[in-house]
Amino acid sequence: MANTRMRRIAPVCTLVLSFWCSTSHAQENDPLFATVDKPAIITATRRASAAPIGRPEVIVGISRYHPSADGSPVEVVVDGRVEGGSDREIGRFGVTPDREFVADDPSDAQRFRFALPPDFAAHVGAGEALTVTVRLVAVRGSGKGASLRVADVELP
Amino acid sequence: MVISRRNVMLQGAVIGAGVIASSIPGMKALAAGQPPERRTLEGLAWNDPIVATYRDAVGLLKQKSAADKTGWAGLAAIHGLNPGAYKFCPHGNWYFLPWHRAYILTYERIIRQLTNNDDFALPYWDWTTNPTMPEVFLDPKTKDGKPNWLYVDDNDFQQDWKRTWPATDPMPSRFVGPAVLQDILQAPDYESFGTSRPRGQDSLDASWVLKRTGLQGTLERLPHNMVHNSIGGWMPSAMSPRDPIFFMHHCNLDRLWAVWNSLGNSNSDDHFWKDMTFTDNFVNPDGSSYSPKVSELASPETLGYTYGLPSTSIVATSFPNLIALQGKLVTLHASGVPKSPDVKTFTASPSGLDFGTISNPLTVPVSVDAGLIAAVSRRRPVSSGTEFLNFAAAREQRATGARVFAFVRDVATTQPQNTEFRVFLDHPGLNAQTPVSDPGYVGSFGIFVHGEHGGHGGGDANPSFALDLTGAMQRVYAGGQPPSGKIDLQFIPVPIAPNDPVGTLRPGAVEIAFVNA
Ligand SMILES: [Cu+2]
Repeated sequence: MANTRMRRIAPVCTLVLSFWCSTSHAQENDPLFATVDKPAIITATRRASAAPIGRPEVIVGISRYHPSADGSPVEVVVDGRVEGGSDREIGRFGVTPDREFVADDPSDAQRFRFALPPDFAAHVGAGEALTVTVRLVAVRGSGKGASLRVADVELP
Repeated sequence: MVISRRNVMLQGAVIGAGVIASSIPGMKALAAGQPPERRTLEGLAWNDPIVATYRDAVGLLKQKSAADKTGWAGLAAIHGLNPGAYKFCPHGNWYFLPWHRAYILTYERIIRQLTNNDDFALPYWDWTTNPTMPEVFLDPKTKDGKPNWLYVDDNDFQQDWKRTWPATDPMPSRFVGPAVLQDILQAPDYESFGTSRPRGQDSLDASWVLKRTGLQGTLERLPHNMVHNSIGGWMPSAMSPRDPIFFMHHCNLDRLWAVWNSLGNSNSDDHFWKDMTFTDNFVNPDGSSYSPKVSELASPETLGYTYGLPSTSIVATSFPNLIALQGKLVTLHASGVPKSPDVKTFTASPSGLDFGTISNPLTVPVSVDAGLIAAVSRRRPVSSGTEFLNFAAAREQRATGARVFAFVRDVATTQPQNTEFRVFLDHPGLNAQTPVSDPGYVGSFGIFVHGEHGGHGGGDANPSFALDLTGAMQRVYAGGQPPSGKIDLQFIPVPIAPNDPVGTLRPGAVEIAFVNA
């Protein structure tokens, strides 16, 4: 989608520039976008029609990933919080290869599965919201330049 | 009382120290109808035949032309077209494990042919037990001054591909540690364990193999991805097989799949999984295509290698080595007098009347048969994951081969309620700061004090302890100088809480028992 938009506005340089400014500004305000300085925060609720929870889990989809500028490794930390509680780690993951990844279609997102801690599962099963924070953390180095965009968070 | 997990009390000698795989070398294994065994890199010196064969083969492959599809670059091109794009290899879906099993097998078969060594099996990097990068990959030259082909110093695609992970830093345990491993091996079904099917798969069309839309479970998303990304150089890229460590990393993932199966877990029975064929993805040593179907990749043994894991169908009563070892140990525990020709004991007592203290540890030299030390140090080291195996089968495995125990009898102590008593083997500079991660650390014991008295002078007989020395002896003598036959068993008291007054100790006697099952 960004590509078609680019093509349409490419002949007018000033417009191209303002497009880039607005996207980076948009990214900063995009709750689904994360860097080492800014987590993505998503609130998910289980659909009332969903089957009863068997093995409670949460699935995090990533539609974009960009490695750090100097190639140093980053990891992704997924935290969860239920109403009135505080953030707690649900799990971690890495994206391999550590290269630019873009899923133009949301169904092409890379997806990661985590078991939900039992107390989270109890809240989620009762229809309460789970606030999921997705953080990019440097394993070594600064991790500057690394970013990702969350496609969706599912509570199956 | 908090004591190290390596603490082994009298009755626990056989249970305490993890699992050790059987020590059948490749030749004997073949004779017994078993294919060559893939083993851990732990303790393999630079000139060990397994390491040397792999290094020589990588050298031969790297010296082939880039256009040769059975050369180093040609084989890596099966995995990735360029650093940013995969070619055939699946990641993020349920073909991840079988595809990489076939891929590393391709190399194993080519290496066997290239080096004329049908006993060769790829070693694995067990990053849970040995989280720092294996040493034999890290120096530009081997110890005899030849090029080390396992070192990476490539300039290609206008880029420097040296690894960036510091040689002495362990891979973080949040990626590869025991808790991660436990989580992996507890996966209840194949799609949780080895990543699920790509979203919406409705046919056996080969395009599904490259869809990265399955749910990545702990195995792929953590140790697989983060070890790749952390090492740096080629490893985080789609051309990762250009780094020779790739195969030891994937061999360990392949082993964990076999361990998970060995725990009684079945692979997927789904038509779209087991009937997928990787058509013309791989090559045979003669350059022809190798096109296995997933269902043909389920069992290592049918593919010509093994991890030496017990079959889950074996029942507990068929563990003769374990039963024999238990019998021998019961006799030793009771009297210290061996009743079996497979048990050799050597006894010593501390000279003088001094107690070991925190600033002056007690050393008890024991003269033993050097040949027996060599037999113990040749045993296979413990590999992670096997502790989750069927308990009786795991214990049978551990009971097999040469082992050594220390029986520390009649231990007199002071301040036992505040003190952890640590035991080390052959550590010349032992002091209170020597960490329990030191290769010579054997274990610790504590003494449970009931009532007011305890320690020496109390009315009760002084306690005795049995410690499994096998692991420490293997670590201390691995690839090193041949043992002289004199070993030092050392005792140092350390405070349980930092500011506690610390006690002292003096054992009445030390017995070293070599047991062969
Ligand atoms: Cu890989």
